[in-house]
Amino acid sequence: MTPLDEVRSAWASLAPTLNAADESTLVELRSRFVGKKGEIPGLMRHLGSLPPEEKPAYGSAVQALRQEVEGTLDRLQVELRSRALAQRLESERLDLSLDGDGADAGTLHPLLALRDEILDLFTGMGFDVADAPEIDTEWFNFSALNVPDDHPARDMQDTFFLSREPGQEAVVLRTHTSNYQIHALRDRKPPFRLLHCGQVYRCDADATHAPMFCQVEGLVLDRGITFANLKATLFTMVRALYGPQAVLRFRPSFFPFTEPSAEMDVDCRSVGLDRDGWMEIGGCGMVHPKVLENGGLDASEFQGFAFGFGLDRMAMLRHGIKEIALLTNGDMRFLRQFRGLA
Amino acid sequence: MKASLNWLKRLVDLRESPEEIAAHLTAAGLEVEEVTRIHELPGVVVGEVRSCEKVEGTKLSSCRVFDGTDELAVVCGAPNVRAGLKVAFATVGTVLPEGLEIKPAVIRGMESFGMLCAEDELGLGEGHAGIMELDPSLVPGTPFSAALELADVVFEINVTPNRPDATGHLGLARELALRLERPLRDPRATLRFERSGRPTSVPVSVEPGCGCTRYVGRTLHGLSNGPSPAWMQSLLRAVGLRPISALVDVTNFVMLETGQPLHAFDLSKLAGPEVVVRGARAGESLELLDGRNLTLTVGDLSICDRNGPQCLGGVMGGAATGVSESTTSIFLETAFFQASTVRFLARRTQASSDSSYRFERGVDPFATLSVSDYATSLILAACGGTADEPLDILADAHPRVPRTVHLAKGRVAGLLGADDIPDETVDRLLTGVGCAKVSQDAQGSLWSLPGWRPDLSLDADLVEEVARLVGYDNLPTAFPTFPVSAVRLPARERWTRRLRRALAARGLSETLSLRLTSQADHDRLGLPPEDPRATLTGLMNPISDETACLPRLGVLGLLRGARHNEKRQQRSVRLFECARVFGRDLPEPFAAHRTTGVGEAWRLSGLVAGPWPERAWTGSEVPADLWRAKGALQGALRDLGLEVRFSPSGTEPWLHPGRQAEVFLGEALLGVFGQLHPTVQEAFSLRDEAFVWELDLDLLVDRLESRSPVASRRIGEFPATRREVNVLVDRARPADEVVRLVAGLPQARHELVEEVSLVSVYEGAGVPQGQKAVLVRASFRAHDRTLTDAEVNLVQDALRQELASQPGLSLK
Repeated sequence: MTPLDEVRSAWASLAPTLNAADESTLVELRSRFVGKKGEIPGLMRHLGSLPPEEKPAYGSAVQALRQEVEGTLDRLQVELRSRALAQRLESERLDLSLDGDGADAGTLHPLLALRDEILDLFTGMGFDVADAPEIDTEWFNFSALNVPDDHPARDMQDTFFLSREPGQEAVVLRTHTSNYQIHALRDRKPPFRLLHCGQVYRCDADATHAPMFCQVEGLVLDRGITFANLKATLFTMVRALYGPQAVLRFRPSFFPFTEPSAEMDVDCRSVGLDRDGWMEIGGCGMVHPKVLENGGLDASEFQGFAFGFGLDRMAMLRHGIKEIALLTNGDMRFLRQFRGLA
Repeated sequence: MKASLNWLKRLVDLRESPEEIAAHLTAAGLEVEEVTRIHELPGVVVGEVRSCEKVEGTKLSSCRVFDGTDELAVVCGAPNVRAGLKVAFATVGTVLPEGLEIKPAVIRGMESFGMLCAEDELGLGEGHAGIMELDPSLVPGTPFSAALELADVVFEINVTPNRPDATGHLGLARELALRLERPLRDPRATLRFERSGRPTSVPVSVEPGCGCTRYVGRTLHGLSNGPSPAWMQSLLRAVGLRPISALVDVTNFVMLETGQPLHAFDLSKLAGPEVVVRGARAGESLELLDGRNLTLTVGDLSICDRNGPQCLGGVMGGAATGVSESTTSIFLETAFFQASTVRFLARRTQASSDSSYRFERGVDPFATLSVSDYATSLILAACGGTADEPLDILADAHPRVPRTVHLAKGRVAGLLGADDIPDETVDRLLTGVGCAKVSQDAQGSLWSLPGWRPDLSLDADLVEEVARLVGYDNLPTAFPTFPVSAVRLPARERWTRRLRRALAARGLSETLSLRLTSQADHDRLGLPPEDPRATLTGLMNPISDETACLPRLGVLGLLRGARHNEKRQQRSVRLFECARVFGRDLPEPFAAHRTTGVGEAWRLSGLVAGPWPERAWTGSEVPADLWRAKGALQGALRDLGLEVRFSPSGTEPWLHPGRQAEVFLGEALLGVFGQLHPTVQEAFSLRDEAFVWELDLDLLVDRLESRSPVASRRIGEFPATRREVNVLVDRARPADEVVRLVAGLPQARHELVEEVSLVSVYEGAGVPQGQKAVLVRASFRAHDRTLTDAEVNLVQDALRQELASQPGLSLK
């Protein structure tokens, strides 16, 4: 037996055990056969002692054996690693049907989300948005708006009064956002388009009325603003809110701070409600000359319109909220429903 | 205001359906809230009792009743049933107003097919003494309701305070007449009654300035005060009034028709007799018709006889001088009391009445006498007797002629934006509401205003009349034109929105708390009395103790919300709110305009308590802890690019003394964050620890708005070298402060130092008792080379030297 045959048969005798070999056995075999001092490189030492005509054949035979050994070991190593990886991956299997961390969504309040929408709508129509006080004097809340104390129009709104010192002017929780009109008239010069949205208070709470609710107030003033302009603006608003099919009507009514005054009603079915008839959504009218004067403006030079409406019922209808108290009691079960409000 | 269709038909021809009439009224601004059909009584007919036999030993009678077609057996228990009587006969199948269905019945072995009805069984009144006895001339079989003209339609109308004329049927009829273009039948235009020719002999005086500017009084004698006519009773009942007697009914009827209240005194009970209209004097009192004994305040408008006040002017009559069934002579008052006088009187005495309701809104100053005449004619017709000539006392202040207003040419078009309404239409509509054109020239027209419309005073009021009568929906629609402007939401709206969304993105829910709270709940926070926030601003007229005050802290609403959830087994609470708070110690907005004494501010508050919904599927609840809560807040603020500083403090009494921090934005105090004090947690009955914050939203918005744009820094390409230093400090000293101290040292600002940051905080083995080790890391980097150790060591050693000289800390 030549040394080459010996190495070859040694390698061949290992064949049945190779498939079961682990990583360290493979390293060992690699070093034994093809390592720097391994058996196959060792065979090349015999090359010098061979006759020249045999040298090429011998060299090729050793090289072939080397390739076979290396090829087999490489293949086994790849197979071994891929099995190990498969095993590891299997052991790392997770149930991805479970919630991830931090996936619990927070929510915005449905009324305040609607408020955002309304502000955007009017900003888009060129209205400037501003804040106003919720506590005000009787004069700003009533008298300046042409609601004198000795007039029954005062009774239209049940007013919360703040405790006060004797001799001090009566201070109220504003009963409507219209107090904003007077503050705006004093702060700004027309022409303007203004919008304010905030909380107002009335002491006639019952199952369907909360003592605090949210109103929107709009005021547009310039030379030559007309009732026709009021109608076009509010038609636009209603259609933007409820869609182009919404039907709006204006009905004569009375507000001391507008003349002419109108109530806005929408056709229930046209806004997606499952009932016949009209639903009152708000009031509007041409700003009363006395209000302009109380705001320090010349009523013969400027005219304009004002409008106001409540958001609570709008939000309740939109989301099918049945109980008004839910809007303010902080119930987590209620609040957490309103995911996805922009 | 309830209005009867039958009543309106007396005043104007109406052929339209009740719904059409309701639509006309609503379109005129007189909103009809409800249309109710009354007294239709289907199945009830006029019956004739053909025979009637008493059943021995009972109160029953066995009758034969003719219903116009058949003669039926009917058993009746009424005492007044007898042969020949015409009766209200409810036939089999009828459902009476109270819900009773008439079925064939067997009573004591006798068959009965129907029922003879008393007033109350038909919903027509209280009478139950016996069955109704009808006019013998009625034809059997005629529907009962039609025979007595009972069927009516009642409109419930929401009369706005500007329309006193619509508090009477005449005013409503006037609107309908105008809309339908039919004549109005004002009954005062065709009055005829017997005049005695004698003057009213009772002396009447009116004190100037007492609140009465016109007083018409007249005496009527020889009256017999029985029931009022049936037609009047039906109309009164239809609008919800109980007929009492002719005298009372007529005054009510005339008020409900004309809108002018009247009062009838029993002349025999007036001491003197004399009538003085004046303010009450000290010590006077009055027993009202409703039985209340009222101590009058000096100046209260009173109608007095020689003994003192007998009637609260325009509000309510007195018990002593009211009319009764035995009254035979009266003093009839028709007056013009000033709206504000009556309003304050009714409000102060809490004696609002149908009368005060109308005077408050303003009655027609020119109709006083004609209404007196009208009532007189009705009284004489119902009670007989004679009427003396009236006294008509007018104060100097009372208007003698109608007010006028000038309507400039083009004003209607200018306000409405409608240039296609012809002048003739304007004239017709204004005339229709009762205005009269006094004159006209090139500038416009002068109009006199009707006395029954005190709401009309400006030209804009006339424009409104035209607009509402033309119909708002028929007026043009046109967009206003405005110069282009760059409109965006104001800073508060913009930044609040971002903050709300950032907090929601971290799993919190926005809430909206009622901004009405209770001092008792506020007291649970345990603020000491000397704290300016301790006492809330209170309401003078709260609905309940729970809602009697205005909140001073935003967290109070959240704590009430947390308690609400706790009571409903909702432990996981993660709330935030942009809340408005109120207090005398806060700055007052719009102070340039007026003073209210109470300031308002916006707060950003949050509350986190109970299980945090992370990996709930592990089966073990993860409780919210301080770090999660702080992370939510800190993270949300970082989303907006705000780096706030939490400086441990212990000053807020409602927070855990060792777990609270003041939150700073730069050097400005923004608010507080921390764990709710255990006693406060207990006071709000909360099972779980709660972590809360209260930040000044106004300040936050201000800072967000005034920020400069983010300045980008150069990113280093060469590797950084990191060195750490372990600093020993007192354990109470905030780690954040140590890091900032290191970062602030001159050597830390060396150009090679890129960042100074915290690695760890450690207490325990190896660290002296009462101290902690704060491991701080400095990164070194140059932009043009890789730093050598020698270079870094140089800076690091210098930094350590600086650090070693700082008081209160040592290097480990």
